[in-house]
Amino acid sequence: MSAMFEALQTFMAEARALLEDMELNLLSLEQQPDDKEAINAVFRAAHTIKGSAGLFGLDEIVNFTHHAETLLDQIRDGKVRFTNDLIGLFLECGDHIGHLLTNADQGRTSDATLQANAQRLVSLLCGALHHSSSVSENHKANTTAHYSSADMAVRGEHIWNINIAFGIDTYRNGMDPDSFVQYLRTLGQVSVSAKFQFPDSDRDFDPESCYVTLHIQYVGEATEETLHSVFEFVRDDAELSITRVDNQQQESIESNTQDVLLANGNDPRQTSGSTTQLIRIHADKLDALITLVGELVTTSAGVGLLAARHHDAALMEATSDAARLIEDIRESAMRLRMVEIGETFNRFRRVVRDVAKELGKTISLDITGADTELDKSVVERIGDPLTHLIRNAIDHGIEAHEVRVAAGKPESGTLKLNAFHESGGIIIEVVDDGAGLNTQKILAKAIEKGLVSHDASLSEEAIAQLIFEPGFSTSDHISNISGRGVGMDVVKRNIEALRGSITIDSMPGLGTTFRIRLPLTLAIIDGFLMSVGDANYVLPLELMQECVELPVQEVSETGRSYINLRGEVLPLIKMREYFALERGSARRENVLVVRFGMKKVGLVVDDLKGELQTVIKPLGPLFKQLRGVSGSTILGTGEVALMLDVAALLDDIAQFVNERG
Amino acid sequence: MTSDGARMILEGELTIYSVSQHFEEWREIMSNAIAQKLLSVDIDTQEVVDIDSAGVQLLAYFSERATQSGITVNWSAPSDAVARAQQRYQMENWFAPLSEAIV
Repeated sequence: MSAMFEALQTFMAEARALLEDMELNLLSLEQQPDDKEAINAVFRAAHTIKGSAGLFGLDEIVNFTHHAETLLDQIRDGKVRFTNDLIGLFLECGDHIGHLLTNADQGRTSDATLQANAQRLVSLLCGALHHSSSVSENHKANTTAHYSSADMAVRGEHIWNINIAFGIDTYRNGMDPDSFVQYLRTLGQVSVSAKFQFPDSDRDFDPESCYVTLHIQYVGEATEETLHSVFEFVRDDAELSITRVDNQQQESIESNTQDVLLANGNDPRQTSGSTTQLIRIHADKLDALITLVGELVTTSAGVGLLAARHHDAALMEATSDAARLIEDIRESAMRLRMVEIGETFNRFRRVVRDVAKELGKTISLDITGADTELDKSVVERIGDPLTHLIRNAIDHGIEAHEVRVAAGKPESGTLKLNAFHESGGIIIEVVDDGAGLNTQKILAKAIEKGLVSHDASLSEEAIAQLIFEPGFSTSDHISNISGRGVGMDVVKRNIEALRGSITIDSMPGLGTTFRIRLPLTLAIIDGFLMSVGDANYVLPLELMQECVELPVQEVSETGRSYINLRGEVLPLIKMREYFALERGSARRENVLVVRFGMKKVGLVVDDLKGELQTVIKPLGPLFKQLRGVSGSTILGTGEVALMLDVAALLDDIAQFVNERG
Repeated sequence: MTSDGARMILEGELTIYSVSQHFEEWREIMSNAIAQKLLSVDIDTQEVVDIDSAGVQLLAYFSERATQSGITVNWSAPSDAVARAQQRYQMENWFAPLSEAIV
């Protein structure tokens, strides 16, 4: 049972990956409808999903995908042209298969809506098939090419004879011998003849049993291993024999092929390697490993402390070596969880296409920095907020054709998704070249909704921030896409839950940039330890710019809350006052200069204790309301240090300054 | 069309989901044909919109079994779907081709 369950989970994950792959290829086909590789890839995705679904008895998926596969087959043979309508249809089919997968995963069957949708799609698929099936004949002639073995050797091609007697239950398992042949056709030239071994009387004949033996001649580059893998789904029941019929000896061929392939820069070991380089690991196991590494980091800090106390040079050296190795382990462990954001970005191609189509806008999506890596858990949770931002940008940001043309802009709008690393975090930008935020309108709306008072004088930036207030929406009409007034506040909340922040840059007439800043990971950070009175605090190291001594003469006890830092005004937050701590006995105070986004602030603390690696533990629900602190960590000495929430500190000081005028 | 035989009309889907039903129809037609000592059976596949390997197999079975019983099968012109399936399996000549006159 559990093995079956695991296998099913693997199938689900693979099928979803295949669907994503299919979608990407379809979208690229929209630009280049004749891309053979992409067409083959779409076909293979459908074929594989169907084949694996059959193994799990997911008849609904098999049945539905079969129709899509049939049409794709025709497209691949050049009998049907891939029009944009068809691409739209296949995108819908992909979505439908996705729904079926979700249902199968949760052990549900289709409801009426889903069934109706399936029927509609199938009839569209069949319609497309018949519509164009009559053009087929003239394509047939050139499929049988003549091969000289010299040509073939150069191309690394060989002739293989494949005999396969399918198992009696092949059809019942949801498989069709023909689909394997079709798949084989994607790998080279194929000719097939079928033989049937029927029982002697009607009584023994079961039309649902499979009596087919195929004799296949295959010419192409595929290796024996690849050919075997084609029949992987039926290998257990079928009798399969695959033999080379080239006129050379097996061994010498092996090395020859290899040489030829290598000469072509087409090393088979590499191609097969690319599939085996990936190992599927359960996320729980990774999390457990990372927790352990976290504990190791803490322990190592404790050992280092002890060693320092003993003043034993050899011991200190040994512990510092160990600490360095642990640092490496930590980094590689963290990297295991890192995934490229590109996959998430690619999902938005579809969102942009669909939303733009619905609104009758032409919009191109530019993606940069797709290889930027960040923690898997962050990637998973950033998808929804990003989707919302993108929908908003298309709906509200980018203007209608006529408006754009009148404003002297290109008719088609551009949406940019960009990701890059910056000082220990990752920045994700959603940039549109639309009209920019209408601050007048936003302010008017905010006043109308009672979010700000009539006489409030707000900076442009502050007005822009208002769109993140709960229940705010400026669109005059409510559209399907966005504009229900739910969302932007949720977007902000989701991002803040990831210890991130979001800012808006808007230029009237030129467009809007949403900039999301996220930490790379949620678990372990490089921190900087300091103390105020008896309490220890940790700050993410990447936010720190520098430390300076607090010039006593410049800041009197009650007076100014800023200093002159090399000609720049640096606002200060006195941590002692902020956390309402008792006066300590520190001889002098220090200023930690912290940068967060575009803002800079100085934190006034007692002692600076240096860098450390630290595992962040969340605070209990009891402390949820606590401002300025985002977590805790246990030091090597066993003491607890609190993690400062710089974003909240900065907000507070901004508010404080505002209130004072 | 020849009229001295029984007639089997296949429509819509000829796939794993419908082969059992078609097979039952076939048995009935065949037992009638044998009882009436008919010489031929018409099989019309012009309205088949979808056929899979189970369907092709069933047609092959009809052909083989009829021949064994001494009955000739007159095949209609295949529908596009059937023609494609035959082509894929290189079975164009498998089902005794109809003369042009009949079509």
